[in-house]
Amino acid sequence: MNRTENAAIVSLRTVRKEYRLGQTLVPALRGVSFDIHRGEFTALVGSSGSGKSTLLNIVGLVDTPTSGAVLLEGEDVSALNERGLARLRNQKLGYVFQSFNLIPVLSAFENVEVPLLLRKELSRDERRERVAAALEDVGLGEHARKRPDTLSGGQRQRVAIARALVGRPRLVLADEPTANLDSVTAHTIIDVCLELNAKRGVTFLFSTHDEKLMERVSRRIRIQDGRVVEQ
Amino acid sequence: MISFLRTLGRNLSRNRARHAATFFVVALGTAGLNGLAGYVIRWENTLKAVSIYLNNTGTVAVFKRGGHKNHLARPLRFSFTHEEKERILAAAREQHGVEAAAPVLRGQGLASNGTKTFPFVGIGFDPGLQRTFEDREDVQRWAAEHTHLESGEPLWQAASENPVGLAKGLGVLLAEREVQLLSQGFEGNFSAIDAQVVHTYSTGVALLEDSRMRMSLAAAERLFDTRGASWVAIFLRDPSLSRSFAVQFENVLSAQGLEVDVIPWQDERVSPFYVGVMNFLFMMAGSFFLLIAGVVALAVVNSVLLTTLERFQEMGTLRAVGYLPGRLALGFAGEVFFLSVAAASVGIGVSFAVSGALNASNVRFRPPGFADTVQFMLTPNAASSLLVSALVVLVAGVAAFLAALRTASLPVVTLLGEERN
Repeated sequence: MNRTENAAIVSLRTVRKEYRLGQTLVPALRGVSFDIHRGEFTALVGSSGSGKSTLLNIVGLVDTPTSGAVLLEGEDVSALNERGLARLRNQKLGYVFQSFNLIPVLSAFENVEVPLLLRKELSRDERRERVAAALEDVGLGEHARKRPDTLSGGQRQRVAIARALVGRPRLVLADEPTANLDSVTAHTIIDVCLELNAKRGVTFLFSTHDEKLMERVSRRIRIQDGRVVEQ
Repeated sequence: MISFLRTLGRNLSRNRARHAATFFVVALGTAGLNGLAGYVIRWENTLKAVSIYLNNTGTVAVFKRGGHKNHLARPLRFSFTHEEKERILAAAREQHGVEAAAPVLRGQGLASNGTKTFPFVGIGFDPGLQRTFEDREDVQRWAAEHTHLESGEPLWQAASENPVGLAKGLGVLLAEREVQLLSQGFEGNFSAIDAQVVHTYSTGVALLEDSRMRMSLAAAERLFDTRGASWVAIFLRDPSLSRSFAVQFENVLSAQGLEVDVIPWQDERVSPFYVGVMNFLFMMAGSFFLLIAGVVALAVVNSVLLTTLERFQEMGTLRAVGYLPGRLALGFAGEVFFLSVAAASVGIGVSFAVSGALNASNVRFRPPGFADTVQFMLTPNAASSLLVSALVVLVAGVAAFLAALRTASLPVVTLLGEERN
């Protein structure tokens, strides 16, 4: 997928993140800058503790940098309050978590529907159509009524992907989405994401330390000790 | 809405033991508060019936200006003349909503059985009207015990010329059927009559048992040598209008040139016992409400905090997809709201069952200052049940919201458990 120079979905400019541990300040990110463009399929790679999850959280607006700028489609998010950030998370971003993070008392359909319940502009029928389509995209149309505890790990992650996609986000963030899956299932999940990227142009940014999966992505951003060392 | 309720029901089934404990606390708290409300309602109604109908105060009492304090010591100056009394009665009968109006005489004197003499305070009223009031449904329901005689027959059945009833203690002191009564008449002269004791009764108040007497209005007029009135008692069909009627009627009488105080029955000047007891009961009920509400709130906070702890990551996920902390907290509050409504309903049922059993068992006790034992009764009603339930559910819902909001407002990265990597 080619980068389009003027279509940066996310831009980071010298982003730093420090955590306080007692009296000590621990730097997790040390001035990270990069852009993610529309249609890219990008992996953040690095060893455990390198800062890739911290970086993903900041891009995903669930954490705030100590300094530096995060721009989402050109908009500096540092001036936004929680309500504004929540709106952006709902409308422009999608999340896939390592542990799936499905709500156990909801069916697959209801889990995927959760982000759309905040979209007042959608009618009930429109909402249901989009949920059904999202589940079909990940191959789980027949499993819509099942609860997470009756689904396999791979199926649960596909439900999570459907939930991330249902809101038609600009960017889907996935934090080690295959870490809790066996290798066969992991490759299946990546296949689903690649297909969505190819056919629907969904932009993905996911973190992983699995070298075999890194071989399948079109772009890698390597992080080491809180710095981007390769991209 | 249906999916919201469905989700709520599913979430409530996630930790049944904890929710059952919360349910139990709310139900018990509601039952306790409604029982307490029933206790207050019982006394409010009993004392109201006694004050208005059995103490001859009326729904409003018309006194000469300053008379409610001074009519006993200075009857000439602070009681109504016959002419004034008739004008007030006439004006009362013209007012809308008046059921009855009657003069009452109250004076003091000495009672003798021929060998011993004792002071008394006597009250004279129309026995026929009194009989009507004692037969009222509300008086029989709430104050039947106070209409019973210790011995003898009621004034309206007595055939004697000057029938009197003696308070129990005075009856023991005099211990004779024929007594001589001496009083300073309302015009300052001395007056005396021979009276016939037709019954003994209990005043309900221990301090008054050896000095109180009641008699027919005619006997009182002869004893106090007057056809006037210490006050005029007016009985409204709707006692809840007493305050507004008092203001309006005082204006009517003032316009006629009468200097009067028209006092509603709830006023401390005419019903000090009612006011004192009810103030105490409301204070007590308020204290118990705060205590029970505190227990309910703490139980709910504890339960919700544990639940949010269990659903930490779930809350983080919802925040990540755009839900605001307040929305999440409302979800938890909604679960507690529905749990509390169900629990309060059970609590109300328990309170009525316990009240019914208690009332049927006729448990009796002697409150401080009372002359006799009274039945311990709890009489909650629909209004108290609704109010108590609403308050308990509100306390539980607010407690749940605040407890959940505290957790839901944590940084999203903290809730997701991704605080540092």
